[in-house]
Amino acid sequence: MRVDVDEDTGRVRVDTEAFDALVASATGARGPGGPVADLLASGAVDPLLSAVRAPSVRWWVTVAGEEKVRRHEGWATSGVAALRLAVTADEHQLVAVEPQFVPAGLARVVHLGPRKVGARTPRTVPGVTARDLFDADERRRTRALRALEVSFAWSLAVDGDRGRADVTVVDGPLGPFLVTDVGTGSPAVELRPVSPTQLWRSLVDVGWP
Amino acid sequence: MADAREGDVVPGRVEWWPGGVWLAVPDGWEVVVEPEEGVTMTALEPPRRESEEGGPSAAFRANLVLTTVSTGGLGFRDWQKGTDELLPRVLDQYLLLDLERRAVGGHEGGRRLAHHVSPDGVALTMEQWFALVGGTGYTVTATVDTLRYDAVADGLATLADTMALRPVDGHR
Repeated sequence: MRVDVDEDTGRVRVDTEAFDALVASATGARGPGGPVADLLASGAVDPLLSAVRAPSVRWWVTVAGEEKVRRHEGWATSGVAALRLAVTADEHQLVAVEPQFVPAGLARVVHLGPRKVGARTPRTVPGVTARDLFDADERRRTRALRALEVSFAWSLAVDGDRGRADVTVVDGPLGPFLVTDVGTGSPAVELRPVSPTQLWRSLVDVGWP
Repeated sequence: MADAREGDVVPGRVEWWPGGVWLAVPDGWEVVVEPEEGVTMTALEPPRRESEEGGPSAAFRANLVLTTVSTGGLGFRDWQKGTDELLPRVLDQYLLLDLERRAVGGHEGGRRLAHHVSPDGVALTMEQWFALVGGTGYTVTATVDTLRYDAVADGLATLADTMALRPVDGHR
């Protein structure tokens, strides 16, 4: 179990075991032990755990490229949002921010930004599902990303007062596209062009507390 | 506009500025002409009801800022290249989200969307429309606290579409 607190910046990094122990203690599932108990006693994660304990909005972000998949998540309640950012598969950075800063944080995680693209039209790509883009199997994931001619994919799921919302996006030299499974019988996805501005609006408009 | 709610951006008034631009300004917004050197006009939304209870974010008043400058002979690309280099230096936590070439007021122009943080810690979304007319560079900057951006984005775009521009005498 590993816990690392940067005294200068307040940045907290933990491994998966420590993170699970933190969440379990926050939700009362079990009492903490070892370095997690010390971390809790320090108060460094108090704001973060207040959001984890009683979130009004939960979200999960997955970003997948050919080489890696990173799964991040967050909790938000009035006044504070907690983010678990996957630095590696077994190292997590924990951040507490005001909810107003979550959209920008998400934009950075999903590499939202301008793309020089020409006119684009919707297209359907057979033989691929949206799930393939995030598959843990590198070969399957790479095949899906290359079939769509994209560099990476990301998905955002939000569960809050407005219910559940999901969006899947692929991005690359041709710019961002929304991805929807359309296969009936055999797998296929439909790609619909979307602008970074439209994606920013969707990140902002999820009912942050 | 009976359906308009407080905080909505509703094109209501069109003003003529000696600088050479027509621009719709929302009803009820506080307009100041030439508030400082280099700024042609600012329009500030009225204080919001929730600002009495909320923090700096709730107190933030969306605003429009119109600047009219001589580009000193620079072409469109070089004028905007300078802007792209300047903004990250002067705005805290600047994050460019979108940038496109598009006609503005019937002239060569573009649109920029970015996020930054105000000096008192408010997450802001800034949308700019800019155009080069002769030697005059026009920029309209709309700024709103980020969590309200989606609600006002269409209204802001409508305002930008009202712009009509002409070159200013003496600019090259």
